[in-house]
Amino acid sequence: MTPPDVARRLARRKGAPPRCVTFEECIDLVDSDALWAFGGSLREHAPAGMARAIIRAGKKDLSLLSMPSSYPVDLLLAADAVKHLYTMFVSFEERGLAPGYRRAVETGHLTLTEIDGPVLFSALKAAACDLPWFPARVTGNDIAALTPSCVAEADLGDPHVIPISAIRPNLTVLQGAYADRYGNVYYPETSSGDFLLATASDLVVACVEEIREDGDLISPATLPSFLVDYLVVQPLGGHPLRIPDYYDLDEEHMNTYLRAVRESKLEEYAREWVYVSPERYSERLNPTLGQRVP
Amino acid sequence: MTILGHGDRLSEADILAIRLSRTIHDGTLGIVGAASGLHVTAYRLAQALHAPNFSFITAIDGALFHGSAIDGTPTAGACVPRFRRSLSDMVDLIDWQYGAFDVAILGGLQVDCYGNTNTIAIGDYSAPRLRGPGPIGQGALSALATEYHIVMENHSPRSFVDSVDHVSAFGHERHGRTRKSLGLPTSGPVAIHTPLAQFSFLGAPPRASLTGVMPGVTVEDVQARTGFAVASAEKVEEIEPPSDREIEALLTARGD
Repeated sequence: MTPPDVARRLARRKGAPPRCVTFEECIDLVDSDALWAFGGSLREHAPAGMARAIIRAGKKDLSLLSMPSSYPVDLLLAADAVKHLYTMFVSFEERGLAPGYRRAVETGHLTLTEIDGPVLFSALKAAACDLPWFPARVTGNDIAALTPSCVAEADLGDPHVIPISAIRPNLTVLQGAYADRYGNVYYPETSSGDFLLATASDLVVACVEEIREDGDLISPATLPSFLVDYLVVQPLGGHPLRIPDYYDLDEEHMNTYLRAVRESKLEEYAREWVYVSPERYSERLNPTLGQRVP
Repeated sequence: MTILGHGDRLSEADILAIRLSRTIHDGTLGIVGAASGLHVTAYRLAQALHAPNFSFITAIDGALFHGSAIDGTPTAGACVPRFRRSLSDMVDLIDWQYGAFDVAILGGLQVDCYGNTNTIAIGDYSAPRLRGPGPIGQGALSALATEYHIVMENHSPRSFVDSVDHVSAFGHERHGRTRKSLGLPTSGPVAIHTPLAQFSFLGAPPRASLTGVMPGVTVEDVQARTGFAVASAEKVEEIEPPSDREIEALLTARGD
């Protein structure tokens, strides 16, 4: 891992609110060899809109670290947008194995850094603390053998604890629910590992459904504005996964996507749902979808 | 597929959920991970039937399911009401702390006789025949939860193998390493549950031993569907089919 860019951190805007940008503008925030990270979980708060924008921009060589993911990461893999992936899980759970992920790995198109929960969270904790490594317990599984690069060189004096090397993403993309006028970001329910990911990363983009003028009066913020460098305000940015208080997981759309990839009809799906503006994307859905539940 | 004359009301997964629910102890805390519909059903049934003070969390979306309220009102057995999923950043509990959870349920593409499971890949790692979803928190839960159950919905020689291709969760033994030599103070897998049978881990090191078969299933049937040599316990019992009370609770939990 490269050392923390302290100069950049010192220069990072502090009291000023994060800058509002579009999905497209985010793509040029970092160099082409940067390590991106996607937050969220298998069912909610996943940056699907950013995934679609990356494909529209024609990126083919992304290095990506992902929390457990379904649609956004699988879509990127199905579209050949990723060359290297750090992941512990890509799956559609009861809907079956992830077809884009399977094809990318089984055809040798994708290189992979296999990690699991203890390795990923140790690596992020190390980065968040500006430490070279963080200790994880030996669990007996094959991850350290499959990914020897995840283990740092350090003698901890306990054979049952191993040092996991820090991983610091250059740009992390998170999908919250809404922001307030100061740029604090809110998740009405769980935020999974997104706070840790934000503290471990050089730059953070938070995508939200809307700016709520009274947001700071409703509930405690999940991500304080000083951890958020850029905001993308785009309704349905997390669709077809769930954003609590805005929309549920869209079962029908998930099945449409899976059918398209499994039947080698991704181009058809992409024409309809990816190579369209976010506004057009919203128009194609039920007009009541995405309206906040009062 | 339906069995046991319950018409089309019960699937194999339903029956597995009922059987799993019987293993849950009252007054404990459980956890479920990804692809866990069957596991959640089992836990909810346990709460409704015999373990009102069993609670569990869903690691993926941070929900906590109580079996009963502080005034004793039962909460299980009915459709889960909408409520806030509020547990964030539980990684210290899931990935570092011993015994934070009393019980977990894991599955896999493969399992071997020592209870090692594989959700990573089938075949050579760099050129797999089948890429699985990945290890997620299997390693942590298998090492840290006080005990866990393995559920294999597909009981076939391809999934029950002599030696798993890759280990996502360490069971009891692998290439001479044991839970003790790895410094793991927890119990590890206690049983493998399949639509046909139940294996418990007996001996030293503990090995999957056939302890129960579903009605109408023979030891030979189980061996024909198992890729490793089946060791039978002294007594192989017939697994109790779902009772009317269990079926009623399941149908209520499903909202039928």
